[in-house]
Amino acid sequence: MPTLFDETKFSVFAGGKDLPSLLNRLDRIALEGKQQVQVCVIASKHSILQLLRDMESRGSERITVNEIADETTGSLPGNVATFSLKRRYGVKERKSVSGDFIVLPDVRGNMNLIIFIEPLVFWHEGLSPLLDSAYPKLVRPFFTQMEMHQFVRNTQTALPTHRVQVLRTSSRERLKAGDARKKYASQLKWTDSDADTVFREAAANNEWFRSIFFELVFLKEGRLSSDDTFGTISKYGYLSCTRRFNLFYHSVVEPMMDYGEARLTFLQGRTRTQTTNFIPKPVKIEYPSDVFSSVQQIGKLLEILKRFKHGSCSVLHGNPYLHVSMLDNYDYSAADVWVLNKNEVLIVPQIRTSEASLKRIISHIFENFREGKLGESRA
Amino acid sequence: MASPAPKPKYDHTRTREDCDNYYNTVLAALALINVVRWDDADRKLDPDSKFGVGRRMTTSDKNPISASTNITPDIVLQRKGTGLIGEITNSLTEKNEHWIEKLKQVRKYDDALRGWWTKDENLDLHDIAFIVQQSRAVRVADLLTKEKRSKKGEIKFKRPAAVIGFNRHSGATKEYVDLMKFFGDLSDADLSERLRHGIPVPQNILLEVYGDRKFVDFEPPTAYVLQLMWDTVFPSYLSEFPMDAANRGRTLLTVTVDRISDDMQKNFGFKVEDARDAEVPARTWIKKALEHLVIFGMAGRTDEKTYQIQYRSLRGDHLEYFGGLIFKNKSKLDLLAAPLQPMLPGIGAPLPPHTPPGLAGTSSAQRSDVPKEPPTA
Repeated sequence: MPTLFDETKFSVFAGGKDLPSLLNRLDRIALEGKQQVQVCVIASKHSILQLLRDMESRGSERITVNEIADETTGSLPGNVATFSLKRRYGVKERKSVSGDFIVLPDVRGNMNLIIFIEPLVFWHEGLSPLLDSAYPKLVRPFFTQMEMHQFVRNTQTALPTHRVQVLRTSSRERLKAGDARKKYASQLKWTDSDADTVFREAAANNEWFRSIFFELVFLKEGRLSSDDTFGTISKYGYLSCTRRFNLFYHSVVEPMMDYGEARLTFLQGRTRTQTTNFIPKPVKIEYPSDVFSSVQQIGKLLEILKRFKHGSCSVLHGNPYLHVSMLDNYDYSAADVWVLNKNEVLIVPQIRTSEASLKRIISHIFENFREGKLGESRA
Repeated sequence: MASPAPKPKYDHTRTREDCDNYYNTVLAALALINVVRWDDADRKLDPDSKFGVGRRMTTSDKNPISASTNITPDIVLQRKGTGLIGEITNSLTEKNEHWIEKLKQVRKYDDALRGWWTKDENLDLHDIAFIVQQSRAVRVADLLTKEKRSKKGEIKFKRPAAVIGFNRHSGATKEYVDLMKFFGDLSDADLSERLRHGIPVPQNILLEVYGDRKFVDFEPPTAYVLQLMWDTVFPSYLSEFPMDAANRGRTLLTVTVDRISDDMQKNFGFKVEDARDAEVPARTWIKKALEHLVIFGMAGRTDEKTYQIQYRSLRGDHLEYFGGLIFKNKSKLDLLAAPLQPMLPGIGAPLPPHTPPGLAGTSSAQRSDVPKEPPTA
């Protein structure tokens, strides 16, 4: 039960909405029931508040978005806003979920934050589908396995008396068997190991995490004791925690925004224009080894590209080198994908290619084939 | 009673091979340009070198094949006061008559051509390179050797001439386009010798140095043009045309042949820098592709140059999709290309339902605006 000195969801939402005071209150929050403090990092080159207000005015039977009038934000016009969301879902069984969220626009460049104190189901069945429906105007960033590991390391460095103990991982594993019909297996794994060991083992087993669920522990009288702080970090810019929000904000959320902004900046401006003399600006994914020395790997990549959701893949050449034309049906961005070097995938933006779409193609390759290092392609 | 013959099925492998062969010639052209521009001593591309794809050159009145007229070799290169005319073919035929005919045509380049990047457009010396798929290079080289040795041989060149084979190969770490000389010499002895041993050009370098070139100056398979238009050109116009729910998920795009041609030339072809440069891809290819869309029911013709495209998402492989539609509509498309039958006096010639204005009654071979016949396999 919250004491008089604790913050509650209502006091957090009612107080000042400037970031330092929000962080302060969130750090002192006492959660009730299944509530967790949750944050989503989302990129947008548009005004996120305007997009949400547009959703509010459109409205539908299934999704209702309403901006909550807030006297405290009166002095910060356009900076912070609070919304409520109700979403109905389910076919056989009609269900609904509702909750409130605070939107902090443009915290770092084009990176926005959405903060909410709700049960996890609000995220999975309410807010996450709403944000996905606004793609490509709202784009969720993705993080590599190395970046995910860095978030955990940051947490450990910031709190050296404690250790991040991973309790559950949601991962994908590349199937090596040549006759496997699926290219990867998804699995939920329960564990109780320190984060470094979990990430090392994942690398050795060719696995990569979609999310990790962890607990902060500390050594007491030679035994590991719980700090009662639990959290989840997802590959797609999401964090939830039960305590110590300030710690996670600086060690996880801020780096998420930094990586996300850097990636967005790297991928943007690749549409061919008069000013760039219509010269394409290709992006390469580099691998540390010659992964394409076997034709089977090129075949695997091709099969993966053909499974690009909400898009198409036209094959111009499949073997021994790869050349396909990808079209993203969300915003009709197009890019050619080539394998011309044994350790590299080359992505050549076509006449119009948005950064959101490039991110989606790269994320698709990272997630379903393997992660590599992004870079400029120069002769 | 005999059962009816089974309906032929669309074989996409053939379409993809045709497109691949076409793209190979683009690579061969770029590889040759790169090799000639490369300054081996300075280890960099010569910034003063010039090149054109499908550049119009003027023959002299003494030209034995085409006197005093404009001709369009596939590649024209100029470096350090020497020129090179390159003619590419991706034909895989084994018929000697075909090659002899081709080589006779190449003789028109053995002339004091005008159109070089000099003040008076003349150049004292130029070489001639006939670029063929490597698997046919020995055959062509043998034919030329035979002609050269024979007193009655018709195919002899006064200027340095060479047969260069092109081939793609997978190296240990990269994909390459190989160029190798099988006959004759070029006036640059060093380049000639390097070509004799074979020069591998990394394919990624061509993409990075020359950009995303997808055309040379002869006509590609129409499925290739359609896939490119549908996937890259039309989507770039979508923001100008609002999607109307009444159109069942389709966006109606009003486009012109000129606009599409300009956009494709800028992005995938070669820039027109002076009056002698040809437009690559040609407007006729774009118009032909748009007429295909009209026949497929995916577009309507507003006037001779304007079309309304019913743009929508297509499933699967779009090259296969358009290849399949071309196969399915072959008889209608044949009508589009067929010359009109002579009519009785006083009776107007009925046009086939989708005959594009301006194309009726002429075959591609008769039209002067078609730069080249497509190469035959």
